[in-house]
Amino acid sequence: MDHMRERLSPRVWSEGGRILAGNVQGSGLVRVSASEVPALRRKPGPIPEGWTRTPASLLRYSDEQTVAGTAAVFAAMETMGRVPEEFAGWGVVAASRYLGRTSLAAALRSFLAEGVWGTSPHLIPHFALHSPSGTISLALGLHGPNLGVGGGLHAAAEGFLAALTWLAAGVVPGVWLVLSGWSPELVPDPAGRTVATGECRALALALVAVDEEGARRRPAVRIVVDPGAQPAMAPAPIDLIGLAESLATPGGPWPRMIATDVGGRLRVELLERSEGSG
Amino acid sequence: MNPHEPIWITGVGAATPLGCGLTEIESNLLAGRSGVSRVTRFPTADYPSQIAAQVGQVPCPPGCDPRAFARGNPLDQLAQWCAGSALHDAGWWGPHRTARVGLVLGLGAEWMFLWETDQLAGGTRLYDPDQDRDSTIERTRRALELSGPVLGLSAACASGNHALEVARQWLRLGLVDVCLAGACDLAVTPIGLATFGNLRALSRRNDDPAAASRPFDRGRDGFVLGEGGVAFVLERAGDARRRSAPAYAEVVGCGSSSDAHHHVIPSPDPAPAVAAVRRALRDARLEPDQVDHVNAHATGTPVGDAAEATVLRLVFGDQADRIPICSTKSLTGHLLTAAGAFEALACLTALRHQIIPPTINLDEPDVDLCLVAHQARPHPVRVAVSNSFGFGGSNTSLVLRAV
Repeated sequence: MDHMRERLSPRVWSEGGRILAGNVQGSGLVRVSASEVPALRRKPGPIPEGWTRTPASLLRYSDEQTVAGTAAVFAAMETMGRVPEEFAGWGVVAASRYLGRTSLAAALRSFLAEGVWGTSPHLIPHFALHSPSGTISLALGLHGPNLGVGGGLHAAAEGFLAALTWLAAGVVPGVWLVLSGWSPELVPDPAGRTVATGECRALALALVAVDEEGARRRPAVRIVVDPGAQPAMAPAPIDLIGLAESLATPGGPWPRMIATDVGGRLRVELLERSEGSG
Repeated sequence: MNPHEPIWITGVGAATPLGCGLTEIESNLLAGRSGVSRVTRFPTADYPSQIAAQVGQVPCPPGCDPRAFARGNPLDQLAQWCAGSALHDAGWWGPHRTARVGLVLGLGAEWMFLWETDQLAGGTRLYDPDQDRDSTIERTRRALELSGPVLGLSAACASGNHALEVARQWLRLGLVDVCLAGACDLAVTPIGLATFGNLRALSRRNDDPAAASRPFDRGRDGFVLGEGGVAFVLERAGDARRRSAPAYAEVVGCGSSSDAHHHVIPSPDPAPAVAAVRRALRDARLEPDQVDHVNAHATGTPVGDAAEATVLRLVFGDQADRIPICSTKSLTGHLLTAAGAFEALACLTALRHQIIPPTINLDEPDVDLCLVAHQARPHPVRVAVSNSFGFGGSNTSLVLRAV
């Protein structure tokens, strides 16, 4: 299996305070309301012709964030003009936020009403932290490692940290970093009714280790160690997914570089283009 | 950065079905005492599987505020005990406040656990996101006064190996001075036992709990749900030497892959899992004939056990007739997210004592491997491999070497 690659040479961009970095080869963004999810569940975006690994049943029981994340990756690939086979050795890091809240609420209601018999077995494969990354690797036929990270309010920051660690260590040739969450949070009421006024957002970034040419031309993400940065996660973090969307819309009305402390005296920096691009 | 900087394990903290603390766990592990019993924490009369390997009362780590600890939820307590006692074991408690100590913890079902336990206790957390602002890992960081980066992750049963690998890389990259790595899972809850039971994954040998977990045995009827947590202290070998810290082992290799086959069922194609084990050995710069022991993932399901036996035979060839292999899940049940971390601990035990823990209940093996059945076996162990192949096809293999 030639996509089962040897561990690559470590790629660290370490001059100055920069420790971890990656270039953004491509990106895809999906924003859907609750009512739009069922259609996406059946066909999560522009699936290449002849691609059979993503049948309509694959996402049948998946969480909305998994559905949106899968669609975001397909959208990114279409924008890049590439097909899933080209990413077979890549890894997946999926950073979801409060995955499965409504599904667990439903499961608890069913359990309290019907007992053990009424408890869905789908909680295991579809609503654990690793479910989105596992499903995306399944949908795309990716044989690199897949990892769910975060799960809470700071999931996006943890996603950047995990993905860039893999790239720096040469664990994978590239990483699909998929950040997802509801905004505002999707919350059922105690009677089980879900009033979905927000949207489920998923941003997929195709990240590769920095190279000299790419560092000048492409959007980039980096993590900097800064003794002046905060050791703890901020109690009300900025919306990293929203900020990272600037990478999906280069040339948009975003500042050239966005930086935010993410705890552990680390700072994530998002660059529309890397320094030196002029 | 030195990409080949040796990374040592210098501390261990654990709360498992075999006890809390390394001495008690190792004693039970090597004696072949099962940690499986009937579930008494909640009524189980309606459950198809009424047994599990459960964790008892988790102690407050020395140096932490016992009142604050008592107010925490059980997952916080488990994480704090494992990480805090590991720092004590490594001799880092106290100095840890001035070092950059990171934390990488496998937490596969954190929110499910928190929401379920809160809801069944009459809480409203599930319906009030404002109560969810802090994660377990952030509370653990705060309770232990850690100042390095933290990361919560999950690759199902493979989480512990991924956590150790990320910690190893953070140390090599200079992100941390010391790193805690491990995993915690408390899946033995009313919903947890019900959903795994309804998945038809669990043993129903309710009348004989200690005999229920039967990896590699023809009489198996599913795995036994387990719970617990394990954390390790990792540091650069040079740093450990400078402070004359004893080491349990060196983390020499890790490999990973995905099956991309099915949400639950292991791939019939062994290639991805084989690739993960071979990558780990290449990363460790070791040949298969240099491996002295394998702790198998082997959960006690017919498909999974057979798939892993094929993988081991493909990787190790004739060496698989010589290398003693065990499944400690026969004693602990399946700790799910924490399984890989516990099995790394079991490998440390083999390295420390030069004894392979037994696979109990192995009356009629149905795979052709050198299995250590019933009783622990003295054996020279310098290199141990721990396989963890998770639900959803996450494969990892970890290589540990004696220091």
